[in-house]
Amino acid sequence: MINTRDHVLRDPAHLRLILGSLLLAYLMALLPWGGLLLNLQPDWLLLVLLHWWLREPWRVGQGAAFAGGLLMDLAQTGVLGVHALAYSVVAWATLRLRVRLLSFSPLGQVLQILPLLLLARLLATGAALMSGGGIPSWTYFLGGLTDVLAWIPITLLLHHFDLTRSNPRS
Amino acid sequence: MSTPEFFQRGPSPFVRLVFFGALAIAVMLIDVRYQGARLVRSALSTLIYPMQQAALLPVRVIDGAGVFFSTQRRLQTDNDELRRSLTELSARSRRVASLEQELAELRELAHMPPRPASDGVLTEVLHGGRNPYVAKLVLDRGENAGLHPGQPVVDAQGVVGQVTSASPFAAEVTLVTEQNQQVPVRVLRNGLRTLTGGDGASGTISLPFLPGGADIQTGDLLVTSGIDGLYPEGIPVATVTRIESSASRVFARITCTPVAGVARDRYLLVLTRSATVSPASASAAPAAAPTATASLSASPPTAPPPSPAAAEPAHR
Repeated sequence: MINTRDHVLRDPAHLRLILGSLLLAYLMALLPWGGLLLNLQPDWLLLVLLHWWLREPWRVGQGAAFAGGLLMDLAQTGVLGVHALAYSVVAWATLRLRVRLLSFSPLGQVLQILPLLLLARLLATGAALMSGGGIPSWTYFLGGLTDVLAWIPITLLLHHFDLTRSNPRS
Repeated sequence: MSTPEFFQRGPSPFVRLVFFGALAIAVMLIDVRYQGARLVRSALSTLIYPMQQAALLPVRVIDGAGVFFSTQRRLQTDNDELRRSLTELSARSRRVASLEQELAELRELAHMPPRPASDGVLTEVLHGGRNPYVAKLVLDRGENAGLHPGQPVVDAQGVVGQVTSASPFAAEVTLVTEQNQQVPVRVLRNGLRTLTGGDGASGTISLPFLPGGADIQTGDLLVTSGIDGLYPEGIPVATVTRIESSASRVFARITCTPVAGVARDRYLLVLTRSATVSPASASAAPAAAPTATASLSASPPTAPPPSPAAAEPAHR
């Protein structure tokens, strides 16, 4: 295990980094997006969760997915559980595909995670539909593309902070 | 040394998926079915309230800067405009006040229950809601200001929607253009009664229950009919913009455009009084009765004495 990529054998990420990034992502989602931007904005929390599912699956797993989904439902003031369901399923799928996804560079991962991100939007729409919501405009699904575009900077940035932390063993 | 944490697996991912998936579905069911879930939701919303305020801060700062740099001339124009409309409206409001008194007296004479008066709470729209599935607005006032689910929300032009949930500091308005949102209306021209139904994302309203031969024309104004006891009577809702009727369908396809600037307003009025009208009986009628009786005492003695039956809810 010498010539492996840095994510295989490395120190666990700081809890502060994990929680801080999740909080920041949630705050991004809480910004008053409106109109077209509402549908086109990336699913910030899901992307950050996705990063940690790949990098820290033992600490950020399906429980975090469920909790994050509930928080998203609160933020959207929708039916509670809609995003919790979607995120839980995507978390499971990501954890299944984890080893495979990690063998790609962030750019290569784009095509792999696009179906996952679209699945999240589809599941949330289906769950919202069953609990009395309407069908969102088609631009909502176009948001899957902004998701993967945002994925590259988000994962690179988080990875960068993860590696450049000061004195990891302390 | 203990076992490295990545060997401690716990339940398999699939088992966890089933557990959390079932939990999510249970939460959805409880949230949709049981009224008690509203308390939990309200408590949770209060928990994330500080974060929401923090997220709104940058936008407020930018807005504030915009106001600061707005030109003198624009402020002057706005001011003139407002002054003019204030003069106009105050003259009209004096007339309305006298008409209202006259109407109350006439209704009293005819042994009709007084019209429920409605009070309003002026609120500011915090943001347009973040829900892609149901179009909502989030207001800056909540239960603490007397807002409750069911209250109608209007702007200067007409009906915007209805308060559908309220936490202590914020309330959500579901717009009239939403799919499940129905408003009992009548056509102003001929008094034809029907219900509206929102069209969802397209931002229009349709009249799904009017038969093909109904007397309705493009340009007709729909106003609230007031028979639901929620929306006060006579508030404009929408104008008819397109009618498609074909022999193959029983119901005409009627598209209307909302009168109110449904998704564009900044300030909205929540009508608070009418929420006291419960679906079973018009309990707001007795509440409004004292004013009507007071106005009657000032009327000529030829008027018949106010009978208790007059205050009873006779309509519906």
